[in-house]
Amino acid sequence: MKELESIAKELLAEGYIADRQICMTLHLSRLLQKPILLEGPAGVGKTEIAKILAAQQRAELIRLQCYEGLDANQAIYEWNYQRQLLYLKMSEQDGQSIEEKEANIFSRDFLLERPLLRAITGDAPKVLLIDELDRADEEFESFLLEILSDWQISIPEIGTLKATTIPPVVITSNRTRELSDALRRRCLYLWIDYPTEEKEVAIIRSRLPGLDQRLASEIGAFMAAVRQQRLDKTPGIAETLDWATTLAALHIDHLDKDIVEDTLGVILKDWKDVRTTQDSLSELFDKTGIISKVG
Amino acid sequence: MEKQLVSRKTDFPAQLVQFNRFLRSRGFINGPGEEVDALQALAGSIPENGEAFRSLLAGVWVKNKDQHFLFPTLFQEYWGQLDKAENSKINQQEEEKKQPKKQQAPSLQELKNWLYNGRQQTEEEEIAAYSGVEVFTQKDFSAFGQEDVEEIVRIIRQFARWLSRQQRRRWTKTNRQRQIDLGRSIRKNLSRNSQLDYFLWRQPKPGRQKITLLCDVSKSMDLYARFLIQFMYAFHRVSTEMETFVFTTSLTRISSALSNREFGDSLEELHTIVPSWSGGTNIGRSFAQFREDYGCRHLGKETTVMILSDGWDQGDEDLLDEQMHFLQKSSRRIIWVNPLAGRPGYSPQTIGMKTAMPYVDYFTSAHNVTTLVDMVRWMK
Repeated sequence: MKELESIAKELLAEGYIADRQICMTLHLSRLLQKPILLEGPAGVGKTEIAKILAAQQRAELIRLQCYEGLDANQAIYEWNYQRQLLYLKMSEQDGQSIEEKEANIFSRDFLLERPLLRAITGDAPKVLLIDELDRADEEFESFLLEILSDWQISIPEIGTLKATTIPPVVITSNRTRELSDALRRRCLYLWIDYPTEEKEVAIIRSRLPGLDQRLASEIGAFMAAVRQQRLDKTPGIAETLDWATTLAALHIDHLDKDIVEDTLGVILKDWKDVRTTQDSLSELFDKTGIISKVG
Repeated sequence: MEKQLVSRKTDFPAQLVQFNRFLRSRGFINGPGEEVDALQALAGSIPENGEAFRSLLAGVWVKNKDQHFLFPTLFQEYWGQLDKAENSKINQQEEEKKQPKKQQAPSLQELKNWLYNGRQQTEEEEIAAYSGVEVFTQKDFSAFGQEDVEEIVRIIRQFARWLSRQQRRRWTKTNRQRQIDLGRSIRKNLSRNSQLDYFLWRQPKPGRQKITLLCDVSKSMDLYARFLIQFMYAFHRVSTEMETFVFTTSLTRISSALSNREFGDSLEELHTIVPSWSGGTNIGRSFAQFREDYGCRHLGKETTVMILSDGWDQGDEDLLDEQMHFLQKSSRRIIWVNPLAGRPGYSPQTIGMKTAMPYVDYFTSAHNVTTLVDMVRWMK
């Protein structure tokens, strides 16, 4: 399909290597104007998709980071109480009636726009990223349903604000809890897994074009082997790129056991994982077919 | 039914609708809205080959991780079968009729009859075969003195107190002088010439963590009966957000018998209201009964489900699997307390335990103070 190829090209231009299903979902999301729900392990580039999408469309990225207890005041709008108080104080002698005062202080001048409201108002193109929705509670999730299906927000004092443009929406979840079926049905679902070895090498090459080609493939092979181990926190692409950057900065062009052992802290963030990997380093090297200078 | 779900239709939308019905029979959740989405997507861009077609449908219809991995197989299964299928007219209504009827929960009386007419014999025989294990753990529990019980009760009390102190990060109105609710205060004082004379207050919403305890009191759990009852009783004495059920082959709610009573009175009442104390075990069916009768009230995202059982199950494995899946989906987390697990070298070997394990968030023996403290720490 031509559309998919052009999406893949556009993403590649921004340095993102997308497989077919990612391109398809992005295409469908444009076509059907539906939000995308991204799930997958940490560090596989879920948030990155929203950033790339914004960069590619030259749109502003509006990010709503979810957390426990997130409510409408922080996500949609809040009245600027301090300013309202000041205004009331200053207009004491104006002789305004209560109705006039009320109309004045509950106008848009006193409204603090939070991410969701900002995303649907204004003319400039925007991409809305709702990050780690699983961290927010269910009350917030149900709240979101209304906005995602009707694209309008009602503020009792002002009235209903309809979206001027419907922005592309990317929702990510790390699956710490199951999101509701109702939300899933309103979204296009995309599962992003750890990349295959080839894809990972391609990602390293596109992000760090100056890196030695052999080193890039060694890193790819080693990471694939590391992920096959039983680890508490399996490293993602973010860690791979950090590691590749580190190795490049150290002017290393070939992996050997000493180098890997010294820099293991860049890819593994749990001491047990570090120990497991250290213990099976020879095995990992055998598996990946990297010939170590020392071993 | 399988064959009726796959048949050649004369027009494409009807074929797509049939494929969606096929997916629904495999646990997908898409309705007519999503069918329209798929047709719209196909109208917007025509896939050039089968793989693109599959990828497009997956993009619209896959809604979770399991479905993501299942979809290619189902796609292959359906369209593969369709290639072989002959044109046939299906009577849709007939298909509708063939939907499995919802199973009616058996009444308590029926269960009692079932329990005491003939079947009881076989259950006891089967359970006798487990005696080796029981003798082994009996030793563990003979060393389980009164002091230990008191210590356990003390820990549970502490935990329950912590539970009731929990606050959420949302606010609620209050008349007590806590934090000023500026929004409401401004509104209230509008008519008072901008002076804030009256304040309105807010405070953090209280936590709503609840615990639902499902306790196995079948024959194989007899040895731990004293421990179990102490355990349930201790939880109940200190926490109001608590529901307790006991089950064997059927389920009984015993919350009222445990609340606000002396221990002796509770015990006495328990023996009268639980019809099948020390019977056989059908975990799946008991959970199904729980789901039907109490599920919507005593489950939710704030509820921790705690199951006390050794996992010896004589019921249907698939039913248990289905019920565990439901419990996992509709609760905050599942803790499985298995007194047998305190045995050195224990690994979950029983079919019931093996079926349930994938759905359990925390597995413990809670047979001594250390494991109990660990569990409480994990829950916090």
